[in-house]
Amino acid sequence: MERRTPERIDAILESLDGMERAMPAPFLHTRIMARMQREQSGGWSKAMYFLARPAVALSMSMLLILLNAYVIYSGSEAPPSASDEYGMAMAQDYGAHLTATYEPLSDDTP
Amino acid sequence: MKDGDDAAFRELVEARQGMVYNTVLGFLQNAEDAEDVTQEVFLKVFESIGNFKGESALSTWLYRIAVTSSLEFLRKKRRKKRFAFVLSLFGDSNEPLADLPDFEHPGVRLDRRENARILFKAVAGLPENQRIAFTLHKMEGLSYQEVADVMDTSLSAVESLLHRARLNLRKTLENPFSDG
Repeated sequence: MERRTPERIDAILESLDGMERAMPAPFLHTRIMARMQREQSGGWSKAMYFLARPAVALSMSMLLILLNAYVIYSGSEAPPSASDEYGMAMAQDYGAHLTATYEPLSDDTP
Repeated sequence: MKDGDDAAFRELVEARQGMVYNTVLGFLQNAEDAEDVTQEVFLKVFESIGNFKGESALSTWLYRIAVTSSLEFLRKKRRKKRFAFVLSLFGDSNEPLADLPDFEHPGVRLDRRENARILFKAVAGLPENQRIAFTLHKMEGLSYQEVADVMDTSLSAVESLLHRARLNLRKTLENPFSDG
């Protein structure tokens, strides 16, 4: 294929001279307002749609389970706090640490 | 308008829809995408009219939003295309990878449409700033000063951008295969 002549290139470069503006389809304002309403009302439904996606829901559940497990296991290993010690001292004072037996009293019981 | 007046917004849309749509269409070269981005531009205008300080003309501000939104759209589209290409390598995409068909601007004179089609294709390959300057000047008929205002640059910078744009276009058009 031959190279384009300088005259042809000039004609191409000038092809937009005197062009008219293109206009959008009619009722653009109405369509913009409808889109605005759609986007405003769609905020919550978009969030719910995102949360309901299986991957997101599964990840959130796993995270919740892991957090629960962490709280449970870290709680069991923690040293007794000051209030726990106070409670234990109280229990000892009042004999609550003794195992209560509620056996029926027999006649030979002193 | 700044008080959220719907009638004023309607008036603004009706008065400026041509300039916004035509600018966006110049960048996107696709009527459907241009319509979508034009709506987006006016939504941004509605939401951010409070930030418009009146330091520049309203038209300059609108042109800026139109240009930025168009370039954002093109970047997103390129990213999608790259992603679709990667997926296609794994045989996992139904997205068409071919370029869009040639663009014909409805405002170009009938006897110049073939030449304009070739020019639009060449303009799409220009570096971003040259493309902005060329599109605003040629398609919207803005003066060099107005282009400088929209691009927030100096008059001499715009002159230089347009000069380089013409050189690049000439170089591209010399190639007989540049019209696809």
